Amino acid sequence: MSRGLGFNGLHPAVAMLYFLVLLVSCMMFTDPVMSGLTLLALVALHLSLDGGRTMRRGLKLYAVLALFIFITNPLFSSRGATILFYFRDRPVTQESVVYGALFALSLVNVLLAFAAYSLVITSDKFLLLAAPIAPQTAFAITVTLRFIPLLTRRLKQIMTVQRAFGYIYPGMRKKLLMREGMETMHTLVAWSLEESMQSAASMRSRGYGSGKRSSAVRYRMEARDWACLWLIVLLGSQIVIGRLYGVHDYEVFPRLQPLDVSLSAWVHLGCYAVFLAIPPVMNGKERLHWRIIRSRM
Amino acid sequence: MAHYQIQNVSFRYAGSDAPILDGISVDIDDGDFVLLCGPSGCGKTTLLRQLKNEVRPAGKREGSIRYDGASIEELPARRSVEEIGMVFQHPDSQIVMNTVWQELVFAMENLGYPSDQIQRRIGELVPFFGMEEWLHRQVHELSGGQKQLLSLASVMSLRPKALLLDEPTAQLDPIAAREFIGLLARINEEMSITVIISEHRLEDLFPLVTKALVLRDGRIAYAGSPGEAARQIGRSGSRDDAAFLPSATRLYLQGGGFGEEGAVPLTVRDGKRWLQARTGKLNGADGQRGETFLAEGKAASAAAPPGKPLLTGKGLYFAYEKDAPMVLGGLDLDIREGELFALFGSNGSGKSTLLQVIAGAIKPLRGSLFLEGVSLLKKRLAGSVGYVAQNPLLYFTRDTVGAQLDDRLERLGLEKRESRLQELLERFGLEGLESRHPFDLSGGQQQKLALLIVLLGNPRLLLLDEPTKGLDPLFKGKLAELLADLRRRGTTILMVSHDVEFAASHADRCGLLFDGRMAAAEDTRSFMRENYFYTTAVQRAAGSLYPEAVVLEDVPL
Amino acid sequence: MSESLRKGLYVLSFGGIAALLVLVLWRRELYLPLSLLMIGLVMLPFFIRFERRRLRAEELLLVAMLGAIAAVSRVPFAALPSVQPVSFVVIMAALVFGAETGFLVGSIAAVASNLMLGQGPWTPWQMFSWGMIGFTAGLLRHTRFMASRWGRAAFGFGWGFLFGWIMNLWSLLGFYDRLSWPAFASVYAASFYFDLAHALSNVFFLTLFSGIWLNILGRVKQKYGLLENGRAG
Repeated sequence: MSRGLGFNGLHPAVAMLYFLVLLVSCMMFTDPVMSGLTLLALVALHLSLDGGRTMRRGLKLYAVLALFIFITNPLFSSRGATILFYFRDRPVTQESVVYGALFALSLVNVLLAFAAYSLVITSDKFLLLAAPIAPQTAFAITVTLRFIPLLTRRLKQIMTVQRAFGYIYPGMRKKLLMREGMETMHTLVAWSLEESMQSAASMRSRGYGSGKRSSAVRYRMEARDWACLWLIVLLGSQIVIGRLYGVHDYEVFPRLQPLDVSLSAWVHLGCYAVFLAIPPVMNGKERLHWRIIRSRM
Repeated sequence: MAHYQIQNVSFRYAGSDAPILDGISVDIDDGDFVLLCGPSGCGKTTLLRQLKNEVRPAGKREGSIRYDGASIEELPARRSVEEIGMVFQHPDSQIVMNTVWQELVFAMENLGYPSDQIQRRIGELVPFFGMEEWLHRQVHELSGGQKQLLSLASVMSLRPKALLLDEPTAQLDPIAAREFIGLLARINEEMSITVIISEHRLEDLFPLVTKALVLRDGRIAYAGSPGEAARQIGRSGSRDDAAFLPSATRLYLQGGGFGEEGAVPLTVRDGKRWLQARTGKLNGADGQRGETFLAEGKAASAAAPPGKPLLTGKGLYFAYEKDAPMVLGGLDLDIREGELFALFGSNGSGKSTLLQVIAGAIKPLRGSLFLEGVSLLKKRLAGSVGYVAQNPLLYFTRDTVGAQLDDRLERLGLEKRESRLQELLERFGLEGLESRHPFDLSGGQQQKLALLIVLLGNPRLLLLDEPTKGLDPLFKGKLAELLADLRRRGTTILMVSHDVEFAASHADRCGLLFDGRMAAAEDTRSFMRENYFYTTAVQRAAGSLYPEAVVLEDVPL
Repeated sequence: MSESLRKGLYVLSFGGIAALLVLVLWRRELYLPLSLLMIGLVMLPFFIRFERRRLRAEELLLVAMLGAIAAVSRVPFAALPSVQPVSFVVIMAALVFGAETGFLVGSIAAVASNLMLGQGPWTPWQMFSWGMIGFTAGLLRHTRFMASRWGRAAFGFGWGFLFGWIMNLWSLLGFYDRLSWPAFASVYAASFYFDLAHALSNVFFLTLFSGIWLNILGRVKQKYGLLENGRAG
């Protein structure tokens, strides 16, 4: 399988590790500087991956969830010393408002990171990674993925027949629609299970179950994969260990803390920034590469 | 040495007394291209499945099958998988992986081939099968023809010595089927792989094979080279068996050619030569193609179709999505009362979409559609239009035939007695099946049951989506009788099809859909006469001598 | 796999969970990553067992097909956003084919639809919840309770809410400063309507259609001798 030059073309295991560290960081950091930096980097990553299309599609959901947390957290937590106002006799504190905002930001980060992960680690790559660890599970999921579009198409065919009979029509009552929907399912289930026995014959006749399966695709670790891997391991352990030792341990309560400006905090921040810059830089480099080639032609 | 030696093989399915195979004996040589044909239920599939251990059905077999000189049961599992490949009928049920690439390597991965070897074989296979363009697609994006090619390629990846194919083109349109069969012939010729194929679509296949076996009730009725088999059928005088032969050969049999020396014509080209030699003329005396061609414009516009208009559509537009291309682009339609109208068109020309629009399953974006002066788009006339989709399984929601019929009657608000149920069951030959599961019926019975379910609503207009797809010639004949009977009782039929031969024999008028519009619509004879590709083999073979000849009966031999 | 090894695995994974719980109490901001890890560990034994079984092609296809059926089951109800038939399909699969198959069908349906629609922190929670619906339904399948229509309806109603409650956890664990009762209440109140709709559609489907589904799936099971007892629990 051919691999691109950018972050997408990285060995999937390396990319997976990157996202693992990224996700843990998104969840770990409550420091406003770190979270803000993460957000910026994630936006850049999304823009470099698909021009931000996926991000825009999810925007509404992210906003609603973040708003919900931002609003509800201060209402239920009265920790903190600086009281802003009272809501139904409960004090609403500045600290818990800030806390809500920080956690809303961290939620958005987590969701954006997952969305980017889905873009890079496609189902193919995911299953390739899973295959050596859990071959049978990965195989079952692959087959499931093959059936989903097939069954969706069949459902539509069945519903066409139901519409032609006048069993489904616009504006029908909810209960009737639920009944008809189940009729659709009955046809689908009986038909598809019956047919999957034919699929079994086709699998067996091509040697399924005759021994240990091999894998046609083998991703080789190339030089850039090793380089990235080292970078991720180095920076990742720095980030996680630093965090566990209390660097950038931003405490909101009882009173907002000033930002951490110690030397170790700056080093920590620097490492994190380099880590975050890996994918956008790789993708940017690729784009630049093509632009140069085109300009030379 | 023979590749397969089949000696006196009989087979009964578990729990059944009647033998489905009864004393079959045949030798299949290395590199043979063998055609198995015969009516549905004659044992073709059962025989094929005896030839590969992994797919042998449960049941009792007598007699012996030897593969490469040894009994097939003793063939080691790995050799059996590698050396004998099998392709099945339904494109969708035999593909299990999500992408083309994964499916292609599936068999090799199962056998644990190392990755370098797999890569190398893929590198050879992909260009041979012309799959470069769609190698990295997902399976659900492929056409039926591409799916069958993929299945064949996946089997070929193990470099088999024998290929078994169970009606591989039954679900394909004619162009995809021809491509598939062409590829098979190449595989057989260039690699000398033994190919054993069961098929109903013989027009293309018959000239290519080295051996034809016609099965009937589990026995071999005729066997030999295609020419010999044709001669045997000719001598037997059986019209039913002749139905399995290509048109050119049937023309030859009809003219009594089987008594003569010389090669039996199997293709249109040879049929035409034989006819020319036979009549001693190159062209017919009663006019040439060119003249009819000139008269075309006048004749088409002058002749008004018979009957009162039943369904009229004007300026129908439809697209599936906002920016998708129009599937129907200003289509006009005129169906006359009592006629059978056959609508042709390539894949994606909008045929099925048009049927669904008329059936009320989808709404056109623009245009009007009237059934006897009542707008179908404004008012749903319950049961006035009946729609039979390609796949009968879409109609089965209950676990017995009886329950399925009761459900339909209940929804129609009919009592069993006052309905046409009993009469229809008798006419369709479906009595006594009420307690069976719809899935346990034969394919033909399922098709009839779906038709019956639709007909219980007494539709004025019946819409059929490729009703002859995958049917054997004999069942097609029975279906034609049923349809004729329906028309006598006042039902009008609009059918969408690829089956030129069926339409030529049974349709009153034909239409050609192209680019979302009706490109031609006229009576069947002129339609077939004026067409060049979309016409019958008889017209192509005999048209220059007998310009009126569209079906066999038209040729005065 | 030997009995002792299997026991060892179970003990190990539950020991891991306990250790994680302690960690969670200790470090507040690690709730979310640790909870994901925990969910993963809980599901691990199921997948290990699945990996160890030598499945016939038919059995593997059945699991995949049922998973796909559950994943697409929302299509006919697209006009009714609150109706959610996935749990019903998973329960039916579990009642016919047993607890382990039930778990697999539920979790594979979740992971497959997430692979298609995009994954999120909810993916493991969904795998777990639907898996558990299948697992518990399968465990109870030979009881009088599940044999009765009312029992099944009650089971579906209960899981309708439980499902929502489990799914709420990922946001609660990760994004509130303190797991206070009011915070719980607010999140659960916000999801109440969805949970009720889920519970009611479970009841609707289970009371009206479980008989038919048991027939359809039972026929397949009988016809092909699939996932027989003892192998699938």
